[in-house]
Amino acid sequence: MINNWFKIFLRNIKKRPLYPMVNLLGLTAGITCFLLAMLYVGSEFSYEKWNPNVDQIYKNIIELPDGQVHVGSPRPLAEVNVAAFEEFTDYTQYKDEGEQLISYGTKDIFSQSSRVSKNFFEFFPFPFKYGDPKTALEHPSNLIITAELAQSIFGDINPVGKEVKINNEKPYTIAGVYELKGNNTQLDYFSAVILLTDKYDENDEWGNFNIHTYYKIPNEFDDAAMTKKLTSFYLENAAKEMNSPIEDVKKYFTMDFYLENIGEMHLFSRGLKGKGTNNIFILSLLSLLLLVMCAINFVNLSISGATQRAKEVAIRKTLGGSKKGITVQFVLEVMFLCLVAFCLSLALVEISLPSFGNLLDVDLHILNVLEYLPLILSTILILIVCAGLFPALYLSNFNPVKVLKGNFSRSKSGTVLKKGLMAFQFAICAVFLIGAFVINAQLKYMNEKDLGFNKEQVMMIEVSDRDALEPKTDMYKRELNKMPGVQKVFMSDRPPGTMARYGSVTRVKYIEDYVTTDIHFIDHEFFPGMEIEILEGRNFLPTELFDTVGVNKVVVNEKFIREFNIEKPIGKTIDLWEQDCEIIGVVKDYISKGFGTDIQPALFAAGYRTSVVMLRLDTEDISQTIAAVEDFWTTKIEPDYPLQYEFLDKDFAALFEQHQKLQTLVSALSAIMVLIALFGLFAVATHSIQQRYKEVAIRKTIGASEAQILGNLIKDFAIICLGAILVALPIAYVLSSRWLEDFTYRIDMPAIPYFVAPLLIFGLTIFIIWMQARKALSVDLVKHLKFE
Amino acid sequence: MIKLKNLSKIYRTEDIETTALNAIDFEVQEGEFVSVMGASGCGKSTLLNTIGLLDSFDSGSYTFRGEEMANLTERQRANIRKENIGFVFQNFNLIDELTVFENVALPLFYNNVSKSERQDRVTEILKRMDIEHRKNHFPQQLSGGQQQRVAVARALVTEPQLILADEPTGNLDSKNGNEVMELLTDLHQQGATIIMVTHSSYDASFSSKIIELKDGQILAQKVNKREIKLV
Repeated sequence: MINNWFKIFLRNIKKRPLYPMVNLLGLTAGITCFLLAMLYVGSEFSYEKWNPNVDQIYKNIIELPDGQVHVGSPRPLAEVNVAAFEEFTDYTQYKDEGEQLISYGTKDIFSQSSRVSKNFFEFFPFPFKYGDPKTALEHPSNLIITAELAQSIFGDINPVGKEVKINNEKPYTIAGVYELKGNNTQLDYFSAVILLTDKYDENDEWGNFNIHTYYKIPNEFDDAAMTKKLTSFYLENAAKEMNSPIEDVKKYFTMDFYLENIGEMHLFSRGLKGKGTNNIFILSLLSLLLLVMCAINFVNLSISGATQRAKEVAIRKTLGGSKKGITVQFVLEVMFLCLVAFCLSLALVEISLPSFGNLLDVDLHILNVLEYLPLILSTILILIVCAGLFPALYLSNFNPVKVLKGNFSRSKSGTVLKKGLMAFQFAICAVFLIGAFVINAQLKYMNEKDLGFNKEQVMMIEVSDRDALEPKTDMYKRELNKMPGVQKVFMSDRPPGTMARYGSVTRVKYIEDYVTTDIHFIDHEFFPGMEIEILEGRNFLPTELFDTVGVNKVVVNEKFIREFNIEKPIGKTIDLWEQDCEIIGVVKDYISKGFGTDIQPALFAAGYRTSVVMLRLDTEDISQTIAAVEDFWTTKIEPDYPLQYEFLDKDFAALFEQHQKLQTLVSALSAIMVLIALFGLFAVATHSIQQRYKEVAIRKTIGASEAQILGNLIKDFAIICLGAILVALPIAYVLSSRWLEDFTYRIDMPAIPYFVAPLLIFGLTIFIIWMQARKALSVDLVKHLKFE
Repeated sequence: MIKLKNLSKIYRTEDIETTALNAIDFEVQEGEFVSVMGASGCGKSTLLNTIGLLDSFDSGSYTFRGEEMANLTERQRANIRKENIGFVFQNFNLIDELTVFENVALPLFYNNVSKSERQDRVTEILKRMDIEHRKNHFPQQLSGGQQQRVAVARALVTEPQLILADEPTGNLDSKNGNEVMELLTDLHQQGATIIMVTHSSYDASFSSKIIELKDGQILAQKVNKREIKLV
């Protein structure tokens, strides 16, 4: 029997390939998107899950009163915490060392590096390709690197025992090579580690939050109670160590200590403010809806195509076929189509995985599909039940007498369901298309918004050895200024768009109030160079360097003035790091941390640790200018280091890279969605209009014009489409508004998407129906009037 | 009113050619009630469809009210149809989604008749056909005879000069068939020109002229003078 079913199935495909092909195409697209989305979601949820200790390791973070979250903590704190609280059984720490120049022979490679505690690899047991994790960190002159870095420095050889130099100074011996690949971890941003020595240095103060600390906590604990306990314990200890009354310490260090499980930090850390899963949620929703749309196409096409199979069903029933048997036959057909679509999808996933991974910046492998096999199979099973069982039952319920008398083809059964499902598809399409347009408008706004400074054509040179270079500052600025193509040279430790960089966040005092403030060190040419407007007072003089004049001069931003509510700020004195500072100017607020964060109070001081040299370049011959700057820098200024530079606008754009990815995803998936819906519409319309050939013939016979017939055929679909769009508009509005709320700087809800997207969907719908309806105009009147 | 001269129609498939109408010569005067008879496949319906401009012909001439119908465009044929010809089919050909009233009003709508006039004319014709009490019903809710009366009402509502009926009683029982024939006879007596294709000699006996077709050719034309009493 199965053989007979299969034969009929194949012959039907051959005879009427439209429906199965549309079904197959839609299903393949849907399953492909679903698989890709599941791979991505799985990858996002797998952060740190490779680590057998994942459930026991917690990272210490702090939250400031203004909601800012920092992942650092004071170095001495961990030791006393572990001694004081029985919940903690151990701790490990690491400290970012920034980019270090690693040299081996003629190879010089900048690499993000960290100093780590001796037990680091016990907490994070990355597999070692070479060396022994137990002994690798025994000597302070040992260097352990990632396999990727080892490959780029040494090639395929085992580098353990080789000697390299860091920053052209001390030699280090490679003691181990560890693998990051395949292990999703937040610790993948550095690729070289050396020992964090047991001795504390002058930076290891109780007020310096520059160390990442992880605790091992084997048992469950109460989050809120732990935060309370840690916060007050810190204040007590800090007050003791700083010899200050606890109230004074509180003013400077108002913050809460939290512990976050490393397995949850990637998506649910406090710093993400609940937005960590936004992209995952949108992607999952979109891919699931795509799958639902494929199922809808399946149901619609199967019902549409049912009349063509009605005779077969009727004859089977007449000859003794059971309803159950017929149901099984059609479910098997759906299963077979699903299986083919699934295989095609696997091939498509394999092909598209690299570009998809690039787009989302994740490393995905097709084999990961196996991990999610139960989920994928259950989804497909649901799909079969939804998409297969319904039409199967519908077909098996045909009344054979009615069918065999030829009285069936104009049956209206299933029409309401078909129209309802189609309306649902249109509505989903409209919602996401509008969403894509809104995201696009917000991104355009972010790209074009006046940031309060000019981000174009600014080259930023990272100074490798800040202390050694300070005496040469005036010389290189003068020389760079002379170069053709260089308009201005200025300096900062904290260019906008680069988040905190080396700048600090400090509690600044005015009379009795404290406000958390971003501290910027700049030179006197920074404001004119960046084209930041000075609203009141004046810029720095070249001589007004911080810590060198009697009373320090500072410039602040508008937000600073607003927070402290200072009237006539020029000449007022504030307290920074227990030093009096006079406000000499107020600059206009500028957006420095992207569009999701409000402008922070900022204080600018001149000189002192300005580590980024910024050059505003002419638009002409940029590559020539860069070459000249590189030549000058690597021969005259820092001959031991390669030049490291970036462009400000690119750095700034990276701040909304996530949103750009979301835009690409939503746009692509919306387009696929619309395409699948149109596929379905095309097939359903073809059938619906074919069913109305007789009506068309009657209308033509009694004198309808072509336009009247076209209008009549299009009307039904147009009403469904318009109805669906009307339902979609408020939903799209609510969802888009919620998405926009995440931005401090955002567009007013644009009206255009609410016209363009519906028009697009409506236009495409009408176009497809129109194409099919045109065919109806040339029907053979005689044939259709004579026969049912 | 209608003059066919040497009119031929050939159906072609890949393998064979079938001559459906073979050099037909035939005239219909205004006010005549003509029946076309013959065995299945003799070309009756093809002849009717050709006269009704639903089908084209390959050679010869067809003049309708003195105008040549060969080589007309689809639009011209549609216009002549809608202004001059009413159709009644064996299978009624009503639109299932429209009510009785809407079905009958459809040709008026296509002829750009105003809404109020449509209302009046449809009501009047439905009364005449004795089907007005069913005006809000859908075709599927009516008996075969009632459906055919609606179809006739639709054919007459534009007051066409010619009524073409293709086996109008073919799908009806004898009682309903008689009702329809009575209706056509009434119309004929009121001056309507009718061409009817039928298998039934009984139905043909209502007409004033009977044409017999065989293999696409006219076998005989005879004037019918017999008085018929409805049973």
